[in-house]
Amino acid sequence: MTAFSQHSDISKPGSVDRAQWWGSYSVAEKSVTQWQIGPLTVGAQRLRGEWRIGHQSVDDPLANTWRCTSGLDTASLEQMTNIERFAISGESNEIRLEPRAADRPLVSRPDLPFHVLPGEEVTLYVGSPLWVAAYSAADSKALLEIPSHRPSDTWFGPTTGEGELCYASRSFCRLVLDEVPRRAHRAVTAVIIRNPIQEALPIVRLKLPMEQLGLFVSGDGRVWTHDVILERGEGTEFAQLEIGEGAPRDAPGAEQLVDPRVRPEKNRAVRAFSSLFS
Amino acid sequence: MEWLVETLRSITWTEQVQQIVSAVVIILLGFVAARVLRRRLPLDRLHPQHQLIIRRFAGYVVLGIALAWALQQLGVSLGVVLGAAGLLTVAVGFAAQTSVSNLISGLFLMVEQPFVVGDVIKVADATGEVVSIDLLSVRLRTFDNLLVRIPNESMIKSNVTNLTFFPIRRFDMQVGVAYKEDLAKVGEVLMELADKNPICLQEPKPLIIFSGFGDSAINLQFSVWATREKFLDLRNSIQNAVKRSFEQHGIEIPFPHRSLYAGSATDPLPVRVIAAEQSPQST
Repeated sequence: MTAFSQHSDISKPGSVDRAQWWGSYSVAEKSVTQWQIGPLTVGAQRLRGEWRIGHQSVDDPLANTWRCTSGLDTASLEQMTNIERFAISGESNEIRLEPRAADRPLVSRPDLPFHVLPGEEVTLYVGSPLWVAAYSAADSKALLEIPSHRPSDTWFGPTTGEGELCYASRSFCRLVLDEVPRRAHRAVTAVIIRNPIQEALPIVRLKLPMEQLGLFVSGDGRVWTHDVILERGEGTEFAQLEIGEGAPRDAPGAEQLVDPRVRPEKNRAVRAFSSLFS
Repeated sequence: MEWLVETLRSITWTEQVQQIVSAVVIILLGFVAARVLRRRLPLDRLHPQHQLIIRRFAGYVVLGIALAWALQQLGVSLGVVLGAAGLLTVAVGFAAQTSVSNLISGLFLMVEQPFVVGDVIKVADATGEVVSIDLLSVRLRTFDNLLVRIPNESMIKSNVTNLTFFPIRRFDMQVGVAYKEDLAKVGEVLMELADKNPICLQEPKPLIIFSGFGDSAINLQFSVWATREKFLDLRNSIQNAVKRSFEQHGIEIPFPHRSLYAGSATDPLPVRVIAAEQSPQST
């Protein structure tokens, strides 16, 4: 059974009882089906020759809701702030939702100053919002992709002329997995940081290459990304970046949901812990 | 038709006429070849600016070859032409000082590359996207869709601001708050706005700079960063958000106040209250 083999026939009105939000859904013609995935609400309506999809987000990025409701009327879609139409031939009324990792690197900033002492290796659990991709299930044509919560932009680089546009987030830098809340719209990345040199490593910022990470789901329903391993280099601001192969170390039996957006680069030195802005 | 063919046959083409016709044909073919070459060169992977330069250069080379060939057809020795070119340059230089100055400035612009085709630049009072960098002038398309031609000599002499050279830009918003307001609270409100606006960069951090005590307000500069593509969006959204948020938090954005004071030695100015609704007879 693949990760997206779940299918729900929601031609009848009402709530759909399902553990995960991704997978295929049959949507009754003309009626609106609505998914509440954390702070994001997505509504889809199948009309003759087109899909009509609307979405909107609430301000709370940590809202933890997962609900699917079918059989709503058109007004529920028209209330949404963003509505788009997608022309499509064929009679299929199946839509597929898939989770995706962010499309740019994520710069996570610890809420409190955080230091990795000399010779230590720690695993930090960093959360990031998932993107929701919608496909016409019959022919796998991409309809749209939207973030469950749009993080703020940030600049990561040595100067304002040189660097990279990233997403920003705040991190509690949790060291215990059980303390990481399980949310339908967020993925957890285990970041293994090694500090082999005889000097404490202050983590001012942590840049994670989200576009190079695939997604997994563990037995308890938590969404994971590939592990990220960062090893501090001596006498340099750069760190050796390695992306774990296969399932995350903390969820060995996790099933892969999607591949990375771009092919991961192996063993390269990156500016991962700080930029010159402080 | 027969009489026309006979007439043409009867014309005795002198050698000179044939040479002139050949030269003209060669030059025309040169123009066509240069045009075709400019269009067909497979340079799509290069930057538009480099494409422009290479296409121009290739075109001029082809035209130069055609011209030299045409001169040879006319029996003009190239050596003599090149020798005369020096003298000609001096003469032309005097006659066309401005054009030559523009030409040389254009070469400097192409080498120095302070901007390239597609950049948005500001020169004197003109702001627009660079459409082309020619040998004599730079053409800008302004945001209200006008074409501005700026001679290269002016470009070299003027201050040119390239608005899209760096990937991110800072927007400095001037905002005034009433003297009664708590500046710490104002700062918190502004920082919260920057934090909530997804296109406002978290880093470089937003800045609040105290500008001074104004006539009617405490003046602050609120500086926020955005990518160059989202700069206008941020500029509009953040100003609207500041106004809305100040209204919500009861922070006053004052307008200029004028106090009338008659001096300590005189009585206060008399003030008479006129009823809002006056009877028709009183008007």
